Amino acid sequence: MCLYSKASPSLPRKSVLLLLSLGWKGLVHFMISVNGLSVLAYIDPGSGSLLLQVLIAGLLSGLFYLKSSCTQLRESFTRVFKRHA
Amino acid sequence: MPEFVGAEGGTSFRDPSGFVFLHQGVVHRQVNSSYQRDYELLVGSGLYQRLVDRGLLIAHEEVELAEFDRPLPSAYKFLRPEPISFISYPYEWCFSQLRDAAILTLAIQREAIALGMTLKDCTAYNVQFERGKAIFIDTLSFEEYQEGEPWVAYRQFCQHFLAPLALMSQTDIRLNQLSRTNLDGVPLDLAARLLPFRSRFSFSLAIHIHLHARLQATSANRPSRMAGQGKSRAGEGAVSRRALLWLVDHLETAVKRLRWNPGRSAWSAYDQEHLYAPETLKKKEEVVGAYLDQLCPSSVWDLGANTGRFSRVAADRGARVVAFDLDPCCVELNYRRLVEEQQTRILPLLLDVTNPSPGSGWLNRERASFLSRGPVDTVLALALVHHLAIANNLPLIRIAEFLREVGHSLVIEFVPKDDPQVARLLASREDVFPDYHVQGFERDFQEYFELEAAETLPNSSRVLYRMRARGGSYPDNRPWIKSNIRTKDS
Repeated sequence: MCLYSKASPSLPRKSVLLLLSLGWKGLVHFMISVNGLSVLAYIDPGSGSLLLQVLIAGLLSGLFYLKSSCTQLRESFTRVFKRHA
Repeated sequence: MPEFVGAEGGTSFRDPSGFVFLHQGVVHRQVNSSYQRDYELLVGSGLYQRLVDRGLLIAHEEVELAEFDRPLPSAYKFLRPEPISFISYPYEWCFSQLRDAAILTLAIQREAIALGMTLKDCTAYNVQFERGKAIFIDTLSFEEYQEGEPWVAYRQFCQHFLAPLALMSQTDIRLNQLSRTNLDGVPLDLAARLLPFRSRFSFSLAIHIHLHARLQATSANRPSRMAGQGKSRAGEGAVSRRALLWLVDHLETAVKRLRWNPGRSAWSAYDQEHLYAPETLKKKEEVVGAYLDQLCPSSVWDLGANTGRFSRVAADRGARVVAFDLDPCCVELNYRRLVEEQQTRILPLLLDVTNPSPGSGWLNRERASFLSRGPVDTVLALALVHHLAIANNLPLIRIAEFLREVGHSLVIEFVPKDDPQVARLLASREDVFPDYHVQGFERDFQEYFELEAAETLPNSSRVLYRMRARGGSYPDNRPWIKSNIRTKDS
């Protein structure tokens, strides 16, 4: 499952909404069933640990998206007020 | 696999990339053919040189050796790493030592990612202390980094480093002993349960310990396609390189935010040194120094080292010293001061002489026992004997037997009953020690040692002795040297 990909810039927005709508248990179930995560390692990486990293990576992308949206919003406000001024 | 396990062998027999063995008494590492590509990448990418130059990874030289003629993985190369003078384990480290080991591991992971590699395991046993600093010793821990793959060693990092540090900082300093019984670090569900409730409000602990423990439990209950299935690629771009570097940074912040400050426990240096009049302390330093000059040891164990005053006397004379103490506060204070002074010859460690680190792990030898890591040239047992004999009811003859096993020579301080310290120990209990006096002490110790010199300290009834072990070299204590353990020579 790809939470973020360079190919589709709209994906982060969709994934954040998806994350928020699923709720806690639903999210875990969804990720485990859909996720093709299979990692070969000589130690047991721990499926929960791999999951957590994907989640955090998603959180990071989500936070970046949120931050950039806020910046965009602020910029459009200033543009609007500048035009009126 | 050779049956060789022990202080030098450690856990390497579990690693498919290679293993550690002894050849002519020196530690070597075989690089298996299966690891050839990763090893060439380690060297070719410049990662090995970069880490060695920064003093993060142990240097090695490649040597030519004949292959083992028994059923072992085929060898690609043989390495001879620089020797580690004393092997120690995370349950013997103080808080700051574990913290430094954690920060070292993360620094290495960061460097590795930058050059296209990643750590495939993150155990605290990959780190040792040499010349006063933490150093990474597992050269074969690196594998090629596949962009987009999550970090397989993340769970181990949390269990070996973050969880014990959080527990030591926020619950109790003694919880590092959980590493003794849990070979793979503190289980996260246990850590989550033991940490105080307020730890959930720390963002980093909430994610890396509490949430981590929950996810481990949840995914353990569900059959998933995650259990090692052929492909080594995770879901496309699941964890980008940027996310991975952020994770490493976040873990480093989490570790650095955990603090522990030793309080003034009853054993700390301040109390100990106030017991001596200044001229007594000075004379004690002189006498110990003179004894060490006569013994000329290259290796010293300072038992009950407190904050290391006399360890420094030994180190100043060129000896490599391991300064053991029971109190985590003392070891911590000693370590912090050693780091400030940039002292390279002293290693402070936690040890309870009456209950020293046992051999544990596979075959009870994967982690070497305390006794098997000796004997040393000289043992310092200053201001110690009365604690063993009186507080711990150990007969003097048994103490002599123990000291004979760990050292070839001994500098020991006998503290008689009329000393205020012993009087304090006897204040609330019956005096069942009729033979605890100078004559009894000398008689018992002469069973195992030649008494070479004795000096009474001024303004005190304490006596300092210099002794040499009877009977020449003691039989080698290390069990893996015994005949059923293979080395390249046999």
